[in-house]
Amino acid sequence: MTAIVEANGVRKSFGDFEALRGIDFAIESGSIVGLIGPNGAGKTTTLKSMLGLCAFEGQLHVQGRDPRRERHQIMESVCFIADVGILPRWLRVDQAMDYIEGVHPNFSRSRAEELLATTSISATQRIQSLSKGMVTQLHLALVMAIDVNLLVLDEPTLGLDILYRKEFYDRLLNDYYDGDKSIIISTHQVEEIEALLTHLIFIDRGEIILDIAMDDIANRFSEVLIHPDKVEQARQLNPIYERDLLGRKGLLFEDQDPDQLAKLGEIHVPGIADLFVAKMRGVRS
Amino acid sequence: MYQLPILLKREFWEHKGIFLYFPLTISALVITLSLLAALVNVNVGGDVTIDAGDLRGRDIEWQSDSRPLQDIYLDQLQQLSRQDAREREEFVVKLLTSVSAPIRGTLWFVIFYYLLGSLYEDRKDRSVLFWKSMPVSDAMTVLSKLLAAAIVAPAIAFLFILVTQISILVIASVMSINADVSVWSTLWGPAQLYSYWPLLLAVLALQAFWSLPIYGFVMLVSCCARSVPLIWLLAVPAVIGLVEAMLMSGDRFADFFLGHLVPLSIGSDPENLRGWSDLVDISFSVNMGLGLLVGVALLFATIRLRGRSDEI
Repeated sequence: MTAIVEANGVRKSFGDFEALRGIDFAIESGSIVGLIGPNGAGKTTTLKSMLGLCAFEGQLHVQGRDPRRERHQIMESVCFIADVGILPRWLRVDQAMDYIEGVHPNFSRSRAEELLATTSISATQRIQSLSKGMVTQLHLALVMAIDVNLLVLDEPTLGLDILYRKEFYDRLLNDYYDGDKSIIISTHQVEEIEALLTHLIFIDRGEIILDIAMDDIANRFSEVLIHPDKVEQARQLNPIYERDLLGRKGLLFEDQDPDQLAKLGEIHVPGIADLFVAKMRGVRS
Repeated sequence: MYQLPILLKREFWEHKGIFLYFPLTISALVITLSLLAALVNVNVGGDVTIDAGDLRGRDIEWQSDSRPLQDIYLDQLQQLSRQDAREREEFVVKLLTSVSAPIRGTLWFVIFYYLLGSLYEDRKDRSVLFWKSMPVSDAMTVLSKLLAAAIVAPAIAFLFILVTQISILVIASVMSINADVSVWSTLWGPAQLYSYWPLLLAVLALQAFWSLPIYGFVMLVSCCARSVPLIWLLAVPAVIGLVEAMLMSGDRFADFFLGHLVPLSIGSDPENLRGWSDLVDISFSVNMGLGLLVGVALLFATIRLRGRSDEI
């Protein structure tokens, strides 16, 4: 596996506020990475830095290129969808296709038209006449018709209703992802993308607090459902998070011997949401 | 470079209103007003006296020593036909220039309005994130917007100027026939359109180079301003001019700035361009060279800053 994105010590500050405090990460080709963090954690800044859409310090390469100087070359093989509303309102749907066809070497107009035909969007509509959900549908259709290596999605479904959200991710996985492409999705709605991901990056206050392959979560983290009698005994093993369940407690452990944990109760792999809360609390306490 | 046509199209789509419909409206307005003046029989000039007559009666009479506008035109045309060739030419060129003036004048505003928003509006509505997510370099973006202002808008304006001038000459021709004046020797001959139009086109083209420092400055402001770019556009040159006037008691900056700001025009007055030799002189002047240098430097700065500019 080769890295399509490599970041070393990436920093960015807005005045006194440090949005990114020297983050390191790599994204391998073929992976679907969830960049997860609370509001203001630095997700958008990370993605925008990768795409050359904002200035930053440190080393960051996308397909071996520096986004600060080579944004337009990078954009030949990378696509970007931001949270709703970055498509220009005055543009007509057919003009959007004309434009991308004229500037992008890897755009297939017939594919875009095919994808749009499955929606209720017509070619002569202006973007301002489309609903929020339809704008996202349109942007996704346009982007899916571009053959690129990396798709960057920044809160792509923010503000959409559940039907659009579900359709968005279904499309992405079924009609777009083919195992060679990489996708990075930022969101703070964790559960929605849990099943999609191959990798997970948690970010908080400009720092990466967890960077892990989904397959490794089971090896590193375990949640044990424990009868109240054994809670004190379990606490000796330094759980990173506790939650109350019906009559029992769920304790989350990191790097603990599974045999030992098995004696305390029923073990299972924690969900991303619980893991997220556990890691956030750990950092913030 | 293969992207340039679609980038220019994109500018045209967004600004169809000011690039196309605006000069179209003004051209239509000038032609309509001329037609009205030619067709409607209104009396102008002179004193109006009202003879109330018998106060109990209803026959109030209007008396005036004014004459129908048409008669005045006819007189003028007849007079013109009797003048010598140089005077006729001067008159017709003046007529052509004056009917094109509304389009040229508004073109100047259109270019400023357009350039000032060109690198600002997309940052304000966040669509800059979409434009920058396309494989178009910042240099191409800036270049396409400059060319839209310096070439596309003037080219469209030029076409409407042609339409307006032909229409005016046609209207005047019809009146000349009524006045029993030779259409060719009074109007079309002196108009010398075969040399007037190329000259006008050359002036518009020269304008693009002459105004480059101003265009560069407006684009730089548009690229940098985080709010109300108009304030920066007005304040920066005003402050530089004031500082120069107070500290160095000079006015070189003001001369340079205003000199390149005012549109070039054709005409017989001394400050206007009178012919091709004036065009050549201005093309190879020091002022032109200096303006181009400043313009190119400002455009480079704009391209660099566009690379770093973010949505606001």
